[in-house]
Amino acid sequence: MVMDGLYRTAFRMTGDRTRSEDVVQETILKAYRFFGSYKEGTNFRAWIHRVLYTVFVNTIRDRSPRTAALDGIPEPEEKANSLIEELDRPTHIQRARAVLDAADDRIQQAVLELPQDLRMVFLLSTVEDLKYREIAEIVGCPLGTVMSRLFRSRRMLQDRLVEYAREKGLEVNPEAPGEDMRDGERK
Amino acid sequence: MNCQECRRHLHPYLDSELEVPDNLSILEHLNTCGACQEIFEAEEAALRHVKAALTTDIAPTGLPRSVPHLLQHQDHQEIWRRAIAILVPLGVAATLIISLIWNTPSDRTPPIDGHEHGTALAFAVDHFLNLRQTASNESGLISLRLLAEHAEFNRLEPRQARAVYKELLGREARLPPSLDGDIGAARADGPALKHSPVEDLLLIETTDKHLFGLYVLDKSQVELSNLQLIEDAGVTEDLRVEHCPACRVIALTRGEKVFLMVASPDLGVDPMIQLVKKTF
Repeated sequence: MVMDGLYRTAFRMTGDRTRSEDVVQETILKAYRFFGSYKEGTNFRAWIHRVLYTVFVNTIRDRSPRTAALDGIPEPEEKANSLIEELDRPTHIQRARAVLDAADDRIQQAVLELPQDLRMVFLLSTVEDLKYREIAEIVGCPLGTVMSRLFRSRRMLQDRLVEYAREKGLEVNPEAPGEDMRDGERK
Repeated sequence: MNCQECRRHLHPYLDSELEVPDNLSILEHLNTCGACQEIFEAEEAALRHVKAALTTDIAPTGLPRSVPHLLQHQDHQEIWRRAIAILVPLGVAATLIISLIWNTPSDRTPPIDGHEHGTALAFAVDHFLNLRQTASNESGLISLRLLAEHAEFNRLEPRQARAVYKELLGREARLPPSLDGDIGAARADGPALKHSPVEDLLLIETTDKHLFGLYVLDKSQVELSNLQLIEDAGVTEDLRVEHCPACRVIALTRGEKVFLMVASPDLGVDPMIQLVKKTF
């Protein structure tokens, strides 16, 4: 449902239910006002999330006028794909298990701890299932940046959950590193 | 494709962003490589788990508030902004007096007029969103009742209706051959013709569940030259027609698809019904 998606995104970005409701209300109003800019045949959810993104950035600007954008960390020069290939199989599995073992509230907290620019892309892709191209239009950055942010956000989320698992002594022991290569690794 | 290349495509693959050839290459590799297959499955399960954890929230009932309320609220805010910008230079006394005047509850803000074209479009969105919400949680925020439930239809005379159908058959090849019969028979099966009591809108529902909207340009003279075909809503078994009693929005819903039509008096003799949005 469109409204649930808007509310979810707003809530995960603000971390506050009252503020997220305000953001959604403002989003709906702006959508009414600028409904003419919606192109028939395009994804309505993507369009209205773009409105929401604009509203959210404006709320940040209102709160701290010197800030005109979401908080974030510098974009790495390396290509997005290079972030992936360096992990070996046991590390992949270990990190995935840490995610699977995490409770909902822990995941929600870890998402809130992501930098805003990464979090927005993460939510739009992973939760709202928008396409990379649509997300690039929403946040106004190149496709490669969207991919980079998405991969980094997922990586950071896993880092936080692995860290949490370690703190709680819940870490899933990775398999012996040597087994990876015996299991058919092809270079 | 080797393991390195395959894992490089991990996220685009999981997000269904790959082109078909790349997708096939990945699948071929996964079929023969247990290590990569395990990674992909683990990462996919992790993503699913994360998504499930983040989709537990639903929008509170009553969000958004009604469009007229929101628009009026915003209009009031805009009026205040402008008033302050003008009145401040004139002095505190004048500002206070005029502010008091503006602060008095009144109907200074023009009422939201559903017949205004731009606002009608806004209503269309409102109805779409609330239609979904109402359907999901029975909140009844803005209930669009079935057209048949609250409308007293002015049916056309059979002679006129028959002429309409014949004209449509001549123009529209999409109409099934079964319609090439007596309009009277079709009407006996149900409300084949629906004439909106709110606007000069005629909806024709065929026995095959095709639905056409016609705008009667001249209400006093219902003739073919005064009818304009607006849209074929397609064949469906579960098509619902909902007409807002307050404005000119007609919503046709079928499963996940919503067809919205808005009648606007501001468009002259051009098509007065617009198919606003076809698919959401």
